[in-house]
Amino acid sequence: MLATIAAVVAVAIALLLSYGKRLLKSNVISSSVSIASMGYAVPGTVIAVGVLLPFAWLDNTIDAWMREHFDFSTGLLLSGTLFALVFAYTVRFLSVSIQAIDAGMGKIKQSMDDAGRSMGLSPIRVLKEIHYPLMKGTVLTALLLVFVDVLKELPATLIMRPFNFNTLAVRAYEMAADERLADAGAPALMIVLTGLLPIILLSRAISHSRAGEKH
Amino acid sequence: MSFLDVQNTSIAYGSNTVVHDISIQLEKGEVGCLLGPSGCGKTTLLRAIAGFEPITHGKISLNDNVVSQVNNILSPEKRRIGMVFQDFALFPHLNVADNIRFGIRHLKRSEQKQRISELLSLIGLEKMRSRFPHELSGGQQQRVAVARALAPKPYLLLLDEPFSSMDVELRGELAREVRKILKQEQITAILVSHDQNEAFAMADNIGVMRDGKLQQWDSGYNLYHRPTNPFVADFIGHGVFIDGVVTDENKIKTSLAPLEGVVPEGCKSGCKVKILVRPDDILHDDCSPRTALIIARSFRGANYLYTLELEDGTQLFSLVHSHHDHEVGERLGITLEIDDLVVFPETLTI
Repeated sequence: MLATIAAVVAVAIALLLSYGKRLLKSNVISSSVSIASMGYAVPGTVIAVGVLLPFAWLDNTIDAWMREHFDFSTGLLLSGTLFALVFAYTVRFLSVSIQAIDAGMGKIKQSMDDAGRSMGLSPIRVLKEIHYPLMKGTVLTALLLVFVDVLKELPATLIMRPFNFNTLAVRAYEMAADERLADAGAPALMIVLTGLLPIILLSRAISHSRAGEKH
Repeated sequence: MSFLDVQNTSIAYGSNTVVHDISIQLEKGEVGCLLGPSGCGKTTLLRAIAGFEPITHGKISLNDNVVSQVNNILSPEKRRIGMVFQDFALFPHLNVADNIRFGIRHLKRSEQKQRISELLSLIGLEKMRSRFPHELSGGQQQRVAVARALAPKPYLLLLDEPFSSMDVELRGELAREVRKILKQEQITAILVSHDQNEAFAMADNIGVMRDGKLQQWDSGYNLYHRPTNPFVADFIGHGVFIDGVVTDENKIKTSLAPLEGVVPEGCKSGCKVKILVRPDDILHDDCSPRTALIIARSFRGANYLYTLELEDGTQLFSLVHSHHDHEVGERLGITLEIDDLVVFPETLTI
C-alpha cells in the first residue's frame, strides 16, 4: 500500500521533470533533474535524518505560530506521519523512476511532440495524449521498480515510521533481531514473493514490447 | 497584405544568427519552397513560421494576424497550421483513420467520419483505413501524414523535407501528387527542400537560401533562366561560368564565341564579366566550324553529358542526344544557342 503510493508519486514527479527537461531544454531544469537523482546515492538513514530535520522545524514553526495566534497547539503535523515517509521514499528512489522515464521518453522523437502541437494540443495534452500511450510500458516498469525498492527499504522506514506502524521489511528485521528466525521468515518470504511478481510481469511486458517493435 | 507575410525576420540561437532579415510573401492557395544546401537556415525559418522558434527581429503574420513578433510568439497549437515531418511522425499506436482523426477529435462524430472518408479518398487509401503505420510503405505513410495535417483545415501547411527519405523516382511522383491535393483543397503551403527537382515539381515560388540569407525569391523558371547572382546560377541546374570582356554596348568577347546580351549596370567597354553557360545552351552540330575537345562524358539515358575543353582551357558542359556517340579525345562540333544571356561582373563570386 505504502509502496504503491510512493511509486505513483515518484513516477508522477519523474514524468513531469523529464517532460519539463524535454520541453524547456533549460540548464536549470536539467541540473535540478540531476540533483533530484542524487538521492539514490545517499543511504536511507541519512535521508531519514535529512528529511526529519526540516519537517520537525516546519512543524515547530507552525505549532508556535498557531499557539501564539490561536492559543492552540497543533503538535507535530508532518514528522512521524506517512506523509513524511512517502516524501523520504520519493527522495530516495526518484532517480530510479527518472531513469526509466527518461529512457522511455528519449525514444519518442521530437517530431511527435511537434506534430501534436501543430494539431492543436497544448504541451500538457501532448504528454497525456501522445507520450503516455506511447510509453505505457515504461511507466509500468518505473512503477514496479520503485514499488519493489520501497518494499525492501529498511533504514529510513525504521527511523521515520509512525508509531505502531510496520512494513514487511521492518517486521522481518524486528523478528530477526530478536532471534525469532522462524517468525521472521513469513514477512521475508512475503517480500520475496511480492518482489518476484513484478519481475515476472516486467519481463513479460518487456518481451511484449520487443515483439511490438519488430514489425 | 499577403496571406502569409514574413517581414525582415531574423532568428538567432544566442549570438549565432542563423536566419538573416528574410522577407517572403505567399498568397492564399500558393505553394512556396525554401530551397538551399543543408545548414542554410531553411528548416529554422519553417519552424519559426510554425511557432516552434522565437524570432529576434521582424514579424510574421498569417491571415492578417501577427503570429510572431520579437518577444511575443503565438504558440503553435493556436496558429491553425498543419505540419508534415521528414520522418512523418505518424502515431504508431493509432491506425490510419485514427491518425487522421487526431486533429479533429473535437468535432461531432459524424463530421469526423465524413472528413476522414473525404481525406482517405483524396489520398487514395480508402482500403487502408484500419492499417497501422508500420504496415504501410513510405509513400503511403507520407500521404497519411499529409491527410492528418490537412484534416483540421489549417490556414497553412508546412512540409519539412517531406520526400527526402524516399527513392528518387517516388519523390517526383509524390511531389506531383501532393501538389495536386494542395491545389484541389486550395491550401497555402511551404515546403523545405534541398532538392531542386522537388521544388520545381511542387512550388509556385521558390526561395533560394544560403547561410541564412535569402538569395532570390522567384518562380522556378526565373531562377533557372534569370538568376540574380552567381550562387543561384550555380546552385540551380548545371552550368559553368566562362570569362568574357565587354567590347561594345551589349557585346561580349569570349573564348567560345562573340556574344550579345544585356551587360550588368556600370559595365563599360573593357569590363571583365562572367557568363553562365548551361549544358543545354551548347548544341551539337557536326557541320559547325567551332569544335571543342571531349575530355569526359557520362551517359544519362536519353542524353550524353559531355565535358568539353576549349583551346584556352575553359571547360564547358554539353547535353547531347545519346545517338551522337563520340569518344573521349574526339573533337565535337558545337554551336551556341543562348536565349537569355546571364552576365555577372567578374567581381561577384559564388
